[in-house]
Amino acid sequence: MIVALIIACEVGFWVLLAAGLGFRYLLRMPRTGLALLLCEPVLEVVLLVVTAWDLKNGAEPDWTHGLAALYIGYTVGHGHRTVKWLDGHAAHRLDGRPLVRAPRYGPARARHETKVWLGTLTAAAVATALLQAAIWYVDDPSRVTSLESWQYTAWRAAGIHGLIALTYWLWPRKTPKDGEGSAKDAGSGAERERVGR
Amino acid sequence: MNTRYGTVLTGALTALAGLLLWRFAGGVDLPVITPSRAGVVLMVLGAAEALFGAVRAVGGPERRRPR
Repeated sequence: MIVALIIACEVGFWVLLAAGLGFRYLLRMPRTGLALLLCEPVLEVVLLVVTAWDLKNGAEPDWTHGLAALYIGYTVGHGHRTVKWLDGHAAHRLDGRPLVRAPRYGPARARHETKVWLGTLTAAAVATALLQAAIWYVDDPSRVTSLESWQYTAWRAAGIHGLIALTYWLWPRKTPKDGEGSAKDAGSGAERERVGR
Repeated sequence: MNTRYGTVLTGALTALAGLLLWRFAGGVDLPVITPSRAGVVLMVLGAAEALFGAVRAVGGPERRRPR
């Protein structure tokens, strides 16, 4: 049931996002769009409540409960950044506004990557706290092995992301000499780039 | 599966995932990570993990972890 709920929350996330951005930029109803975007955290609350309810009803703790905790952790750590990033791309593509991008080169990029990594640390901390709460709630060491392994997974991901952020300090991307990078940083709006979806 | 060979396999798969990210996701823009840079780090970590597993595999009988 938890897997189905995670899928429903993920689908709901994108539906709310598309509806919110559609109202904001296609229908020119920014307040309605903002209200829809602000509904996103409600999905996480529903997931949290149902996960707790599932455990309370005697469900065997397994990887799905761990995945739910990580999903909620990601939303706390990176949800705002993700929605803001998508909003910026929607404004660029649908409204013709210049694309505001993160710094791409040098120490400014390294500082940006460190901030993003702090979001991952927050996500790992939230997921660990939720998993620990579930472990205390179940209170049976033989049944919580999978939840403990998800705590390890969360910190492993945070560690790998920390190494990625560290590489920007050790080997910073250099600004191109022809000034191409600075033009892109300024967000000229002419650039149509590939966007990960 | 034997834990040591499992480590080799995990490392190899991590390195392969890194290689694919580095090779094919260069122009993709994401809010949290840059796939190409993450690919390089995953390749290094995966290779190190596979090497560690290989060294353990040829280094004698596996020690049991105390429970």
